Amino acid sequence: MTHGGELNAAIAKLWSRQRPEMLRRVDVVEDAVAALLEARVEPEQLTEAQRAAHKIAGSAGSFGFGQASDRAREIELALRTGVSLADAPRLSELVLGIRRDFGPETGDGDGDAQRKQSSAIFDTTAFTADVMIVGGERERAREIQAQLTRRGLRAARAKPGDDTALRSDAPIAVVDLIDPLAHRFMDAAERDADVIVVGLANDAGLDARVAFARRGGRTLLPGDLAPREIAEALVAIRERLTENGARVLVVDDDPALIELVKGALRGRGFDATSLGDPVHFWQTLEAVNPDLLVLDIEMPGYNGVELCQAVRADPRWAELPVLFLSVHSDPDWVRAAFAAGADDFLAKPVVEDELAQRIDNRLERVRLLRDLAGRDALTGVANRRKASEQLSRLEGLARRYGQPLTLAILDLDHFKQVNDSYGHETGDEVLRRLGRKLQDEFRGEDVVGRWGGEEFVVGMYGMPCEIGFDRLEALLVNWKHERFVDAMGGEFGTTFTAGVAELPSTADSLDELQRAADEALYRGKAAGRSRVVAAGERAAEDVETVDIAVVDDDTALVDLLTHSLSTQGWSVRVVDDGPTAVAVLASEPPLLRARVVLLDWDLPGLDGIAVLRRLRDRGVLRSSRVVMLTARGAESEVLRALELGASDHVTKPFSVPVLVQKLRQVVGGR
Amino acid sequence: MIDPEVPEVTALVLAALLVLAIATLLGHAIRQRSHARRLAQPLADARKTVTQAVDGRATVEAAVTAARALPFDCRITVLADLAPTLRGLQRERLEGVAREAGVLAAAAGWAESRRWWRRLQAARLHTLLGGGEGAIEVLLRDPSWEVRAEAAQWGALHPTDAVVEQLLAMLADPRPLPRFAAKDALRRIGRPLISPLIDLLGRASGSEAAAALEVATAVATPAILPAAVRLSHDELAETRARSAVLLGVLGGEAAIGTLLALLHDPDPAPRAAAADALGRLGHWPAVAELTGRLRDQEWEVRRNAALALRSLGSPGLLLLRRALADDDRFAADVARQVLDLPDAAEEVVVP
Repeated sequence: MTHGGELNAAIAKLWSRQRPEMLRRVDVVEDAVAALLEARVEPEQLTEAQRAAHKIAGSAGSFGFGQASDRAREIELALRTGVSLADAPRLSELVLGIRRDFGPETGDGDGDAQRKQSSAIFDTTAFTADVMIVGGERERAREIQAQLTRRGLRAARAKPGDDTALRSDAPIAVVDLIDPLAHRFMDAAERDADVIVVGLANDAGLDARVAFARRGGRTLLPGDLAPREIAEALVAIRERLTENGARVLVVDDDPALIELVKGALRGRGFDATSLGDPVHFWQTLEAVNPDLLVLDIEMPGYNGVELCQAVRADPRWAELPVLFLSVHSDPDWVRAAFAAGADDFLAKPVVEDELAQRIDNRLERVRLLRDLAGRDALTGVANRRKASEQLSRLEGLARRYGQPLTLAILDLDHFKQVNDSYGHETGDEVLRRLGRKLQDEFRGEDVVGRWGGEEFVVGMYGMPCEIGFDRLEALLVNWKHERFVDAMGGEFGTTFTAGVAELPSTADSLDELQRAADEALYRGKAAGRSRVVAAGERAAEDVETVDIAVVDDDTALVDLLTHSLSTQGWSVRVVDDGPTAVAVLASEPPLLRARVVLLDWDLPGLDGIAVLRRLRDRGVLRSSRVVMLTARGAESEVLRALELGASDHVTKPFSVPVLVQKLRQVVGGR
Repeated sequence: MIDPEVPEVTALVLAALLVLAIATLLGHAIRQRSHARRLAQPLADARKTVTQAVDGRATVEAAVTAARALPFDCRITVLADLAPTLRGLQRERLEGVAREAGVLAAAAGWAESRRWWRRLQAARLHTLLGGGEGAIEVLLRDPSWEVRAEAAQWGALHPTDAVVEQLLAMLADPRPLPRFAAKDALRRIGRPLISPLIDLLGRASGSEAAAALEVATAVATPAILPAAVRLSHDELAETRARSAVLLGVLGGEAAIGTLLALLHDPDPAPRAAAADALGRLGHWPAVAELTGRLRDQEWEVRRNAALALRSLGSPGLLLLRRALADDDRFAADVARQVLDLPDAAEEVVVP
């Protein structure tokens, strides 16, 4: 499913949950219009209806009901400016129109059923694990779970026919095929290509493996394997999921040739795995999940042609490049190799450069695809998704081996001014240069990625915070000497601010680590920029730091926003009235610090503009950006908000993807 | 002893009678056929000449001469056949031919006949061919109801004050056909009716007023409004209902106010008529009152109120939709039925 499709599906689910509440609001408006028609309307009723119309106007459009939103806005405007009986026909028409927009209603019972069903669906999203252990003897499953937990993976157990197993979102499932109900899980897994199914079976022969693979299984492990070994295999599979470099599996019974190939590949940044005994071929193939396979033809047990045929017989490996190495250079063997599905054939003795070049050629396409998917096109460092995956892997390693993981988030100072003053091309050059600088400075196990806009992230595995801090400081000193030339030939330099945090001393999870580093970065910004700040000091303070604070009392809209923003990886905190917003955001010291505050205009207790004024007076706007959410389109009111320090305003109803894009820009343009 | 000759004599007598009867019939048929053959040409000539005279292509005298050449009943046939299709000058010419040919004079004479069917024929001829002033007016009070009804038809074509008065009086006729004929005639009279009708409505009551209101609904002039309002308080429920219908045609604030009051009439007919009238007037501010009538004890009132609400657009539809949840299941039921009608179903999303 595409990202847009997922978002739409999520919005549809949210709508099914919010619909009753939305219809209740329509009821409130309708009650007021009916009372107006019956000449028994009270001012309080009109005020309540105006509030309900305001909420419909603000959120219906975001659920895809743009026309309903327009109608509700017209009602709100009419109610605000005062209505008489003469307005009743138009108001009635608008109310009926909104009901038409929302579609036919179901009875209360149906609605409840629908809500319950939705809740059940949502419940599955809360169930997260890295590995799902399905079936098998209880004690053995518990032991595997314990082994996985020790290795930093979240593991859960379920019966093969259990809903928990079928609805799990764990990327890996280990299934005991001895369990009589295992086929039920396999039936479900066959339909879900995203799950890597690892089977445990007494019969782990080639035939059984092919049959298992055809049912959607990935790796078949012998059933008598110790829990520790199973856990190790699962960890290896898990790590393969998040690894960066292209993987080559070399199957040859000649240790010398293996060393030769490995040497050739290492020099080009590839990860080579060797296998001397073809009997374990399938198991190794599944575990390594290679990008290229190098096969010898003549081996004990199975020859290379037979292995190649087995590989090609499995649709999942149909695209895997296969290169043959053999002393048999006679036409029959070569023909047999190509007939089995070989992509290339190289006769032994192998010339190292030629082998390397041929492998390189075959992997070029793989490399290109990987680069496209995981690299930031401008700076050449990992993109946010890839960097997040790598950081997650480092987190697992750090936990497993008790090593520290230091995370730094860097942000170029006044980058918006660079773009504005020297043009975007020059701005891009600054980003490119910083990307290169970071790649030069941090290598090996370190993760370097572009976090978004002018923000970079560096993950330093096995490195304490103090050393990471020093490296960043050294980089900053070095960076300050970097000179850039603008289009007019003038020279200028830039600085950056960085926040550094360490796992586990300043944070317990990767999310917390990111927040801590981000918060340290904010402190550095607030303190005047061009510095590196460690998160240690802040850990002592009771300040919650989030990416986005949503200040809005419309529960439907808040639900939608929270879901949408969270799926973007942003931390979100919701405040539902004006006085609380002031208390948590503008207190001294603040209880909540947000990079962006989405501030609704019409709030209970204290309206958005008053909250904005308090935030400005307390200096909160120096570290937080405020985006006003308003159903008001009046120029003067928008200007008023901008004059008070709001960074932007979004008119309700708004498109969620557009809002997310705006927030990216706001967060990035800090 | 039995005379064997007797049955034979009887048979012979019967046979003779049969032969005589057949001979008589055949003779009559032959005579008729001979008569028709003899008249065919003069009848065709007379039709042609009368038609030409009516059309202005022959003189009235020629037509009269041709008509007079025919037996009297044939003369009537020729003229009566043409009459229903003629108007204006052509009709006046035909009336001239009829007069000169002695047909109208004969009809005027028949109007005084002691035999009712002759008077009826007189009224019919004068209705068809014109004339009859003085003679037919009397027949509006004829003891025979068939004659009165036919005379009313003549009266629609000769709406003198006296005739109109008499027609209005006929609204209280004890027999239905003369009443119906009088109403029909009055509706066709139009403007000359207004003044006497207002006078009647000003003083009438009961069933006479109800009939007059029915006529007034066809005329529908604002001058009738005060009388209609007055009759909305008539003792007879039918009269109040008729006044509601008339008020629904007349419109205006006074009419609306009266109709809103009639929604609470003790009898169902005026309530139903008032609900219908408010719907026809498109008076949407009445939606609240009409919604109240959805709980009426009488089906017709509930139905008319619901249909009126539907015809009042969004305000009515909105309240109808809300009535679906009414505690009164009859109100909810009628709302459901009306909202299920195709045009309303497109507008309103019902639960």
